[in-house]
Amino acid sequence: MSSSVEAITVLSSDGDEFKITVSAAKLSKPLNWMLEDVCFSDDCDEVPTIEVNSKTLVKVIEYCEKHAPRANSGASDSDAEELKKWDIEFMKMDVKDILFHILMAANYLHMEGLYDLACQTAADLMKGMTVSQIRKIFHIKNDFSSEEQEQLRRQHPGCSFD
Amino acid sequence: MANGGDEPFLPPEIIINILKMLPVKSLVRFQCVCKEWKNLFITPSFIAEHLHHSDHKNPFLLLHDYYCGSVRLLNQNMETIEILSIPFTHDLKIIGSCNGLLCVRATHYHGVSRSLCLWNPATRKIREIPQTTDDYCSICAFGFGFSSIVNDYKIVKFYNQEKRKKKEEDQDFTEAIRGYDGVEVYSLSTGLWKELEFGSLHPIRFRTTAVSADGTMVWLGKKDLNPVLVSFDLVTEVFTITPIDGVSPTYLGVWEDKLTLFWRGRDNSVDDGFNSTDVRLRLLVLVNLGRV
Repeated sequence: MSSSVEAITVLSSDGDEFKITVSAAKLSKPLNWMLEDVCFSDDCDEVPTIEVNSKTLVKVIEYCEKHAPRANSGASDSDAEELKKWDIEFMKMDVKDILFHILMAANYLHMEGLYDLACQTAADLMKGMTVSQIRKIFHIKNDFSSEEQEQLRRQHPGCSFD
Repeated sequence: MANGGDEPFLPPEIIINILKMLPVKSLVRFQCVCKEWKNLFITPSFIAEHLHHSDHKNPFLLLHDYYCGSVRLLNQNMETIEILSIPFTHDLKIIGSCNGLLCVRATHYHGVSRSLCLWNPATRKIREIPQTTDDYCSICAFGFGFSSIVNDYKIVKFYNQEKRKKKEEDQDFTEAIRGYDGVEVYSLSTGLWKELEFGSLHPIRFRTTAVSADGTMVWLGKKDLNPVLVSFDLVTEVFTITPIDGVSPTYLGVWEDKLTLFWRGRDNSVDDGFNSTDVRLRLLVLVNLGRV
């Protein structure tokens, strides 16, 4: 494979093939390293695997491709505004069900922008949740004794354990 | 996340990062989730990181109607977001606010005739600040500020020893000399008051309450009848007096964590005209005051 390569092929953890452009891959350090490996490797047929499932990887690549032009060349303020709006829609419409997977992928792929965006989205969604809903999504058990619950209720009237 | 229950287990560092982005109100609610979260929310490192994240992200205006006794939170469009319930029964005076924490002077709180308190309306927690002597708060001048460098909140109090003495001797203390002759600082991290050197500040008088910006408290005052800015560096605990050339500003303010001076005047003149018609405001943003 020559250095003029424009896109690389990667495998998801489910074994599906995905194409990602070189400029988009630059948003992630690990992806970028893979890219360099592929470009300079003698074994051109090797397809690197990314430990992210297909459903999540589609969205991660979509994010990378959208953000690539600005990340690589810098852009005007109006582009930045537009991108911000796109981010909000991206988080609102598409990723709610796989938000935690996106978070893990962004963390694993060292994608700061997507990571912060996903953390903020999760925090915004949590604001409207009850304590028991929070326990469910984070797989947490209520480990307060009834005495401790009573004490917390006294300190914070109106606080709920449900 | 919308359905709940099918989510993967997130590593702790990701969970903590999400929690840092929650408003204090949600954190108060979510301390009931489990012991680990409850303990996490009160660790100094989490508090500092949460503060660092939320700093300047949720700008609200606090409006205190002294006569109605109500404290309201307004958003940037001047719409009322919330009417705060006040845990003080009478005579609340807000000395200052930093990071959502209010420093207030209150009377009749828990039967204490006068007290100085730190009040967090979001968590509804109140911490009473110990008083050095019976302070006659009404004659003291206060300042409240935060420094991220030392990660500490401080309260500065100017007082008049002569007045204290006169009162103790049960004499007519209204005859005591006016102005201040002593100053002390309270640190929230140590929980102690400390006497500071007053010497070079004499004979200082204040025209405004203090504002706090960039780790510095500033008062607008007069020294030997000349307008001055008195600034206090929260890190070094050193006062700096900066003379003001020309007309004294009318107000002090803070803009993007920088001290701002306002002049109120008619047209282009910058007198202290209190004529409500055609009043203009002129403002000057100062950088690095007292950090020469």
